[in-house]
Amino acid sequence: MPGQGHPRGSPSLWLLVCAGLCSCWGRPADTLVVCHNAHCAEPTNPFQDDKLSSLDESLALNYQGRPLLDGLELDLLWEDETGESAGRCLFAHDRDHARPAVDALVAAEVIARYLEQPGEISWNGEIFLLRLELKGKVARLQKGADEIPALDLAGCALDLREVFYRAALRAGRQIEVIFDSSDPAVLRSLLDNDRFFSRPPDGNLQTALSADFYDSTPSGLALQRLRDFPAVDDVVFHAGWIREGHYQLFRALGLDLTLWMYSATADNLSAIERLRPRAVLTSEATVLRRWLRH
Amino acid sequence: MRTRDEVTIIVVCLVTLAGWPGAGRARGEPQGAATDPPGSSPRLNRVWHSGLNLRTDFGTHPIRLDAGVGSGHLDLIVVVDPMFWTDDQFDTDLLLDWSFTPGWSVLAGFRSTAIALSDGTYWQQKSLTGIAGRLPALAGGSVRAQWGLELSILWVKHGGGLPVDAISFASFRHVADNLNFGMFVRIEYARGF
Repeated sequence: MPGQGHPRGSPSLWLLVCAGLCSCWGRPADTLVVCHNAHCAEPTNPFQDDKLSSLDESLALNYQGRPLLDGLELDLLWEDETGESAGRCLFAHDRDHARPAVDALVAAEVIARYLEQPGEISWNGEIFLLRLELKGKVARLQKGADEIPALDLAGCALDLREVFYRAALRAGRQIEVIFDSSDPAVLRSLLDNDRFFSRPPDGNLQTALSADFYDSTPSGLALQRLRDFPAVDDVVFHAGWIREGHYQLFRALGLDLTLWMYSATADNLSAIERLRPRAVLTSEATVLRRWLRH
Repeated sequence: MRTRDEVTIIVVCLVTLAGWPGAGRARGEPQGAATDPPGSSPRLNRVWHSGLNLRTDFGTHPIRLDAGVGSGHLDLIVVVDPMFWTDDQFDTDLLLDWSFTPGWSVLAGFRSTAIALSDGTYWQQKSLTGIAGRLPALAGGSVRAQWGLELSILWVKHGGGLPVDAISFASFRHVADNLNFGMFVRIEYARGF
């Protein structure tokens, strides 16, 4: 008969396998909640990402008498040159939904006012994260393979950091500005700009670079290689689109981990438990805060 | 790893090991096992079964318990989640498995996920479809295994005082996280009745 004569399994081996399957389970209560695309007031609708109205609603979120967020992400999109201008740095997610869009500096001023308002400005009470996602690929598609848009985009991002820094200085706030792109050339263009180094870390401002492992294939493999990026402090990734090897490498290099998601599904929540990122970018900040607080 | 996780794992594994090959042999051969070709899973006319439902992806907890009854080509399966107390998240599956050819089956069903929030419970409702194949049986057919590939579609999230959030196909960004593939292995003790 099939199966007869098979050696009996070792209980210790099975216990070891089972233990390995579920190491580090449990909710990481100190994970930071960062508002994805400046739009995290439910109900979600990606078409409303990176709009001033969404930004206002998101900054107004609170829970149990405290600001709900630990930070915010803005997308910066370079609009191609037109007959009237040499290009604009927009607060927008993508070209299809960039209308109506405002200049990124307008959104930055809204955030600067938030930093200067009295009282707490973040759930953690210490620091407010500001992630600037530089949409390098869109800029390149519009202007070709040269790096001029990347340089323009980098200049725009540095302008925004200056606005945030001055507000933080006036209000005595501590902020961390994280420049993030899926395009290594865009991050390198930041480093090529002398202004990047003009604000060394102090009690008000920390600056970081983040490699965005956004580029995925239908098979779920991120295409980027970390070695193509300049030295970064942080990596941002979708849990379903990286491999175990990516994760182990990120951990081994001591990088900050930021997990982003389209939706707070059970799968993504389980990934937070297992990967234990420093921060999570989510459009459902209330769900995530209440999940972490449980 | 946290202490309570260790206790859960040990309890689940010990309960399962109590019914491993030795126990299967002691209970005798299920109905129909003698007529199956060597190396294939026995065809059981009416069986009950119970065992482990294991996975490594993020779809559910890695170890769950399943139980069911089968008759002919159909098998009705319930999967419950003993690891709920590690993080107050509980997945319950109800599945119908139809064997369309010896050793292979398609499955369809439903997964309800309860997620505890700070002041309420958030529910996520998914449909499940998949294909599964039998692995070689052990202990004269009493201990059997099945490998499967499933597609889960999250249709609606609700509860916890939050707005109802139903699936939208307006763009890739709306729907991407609602579709998930997963692989599982079921290892179970089966007996005819």
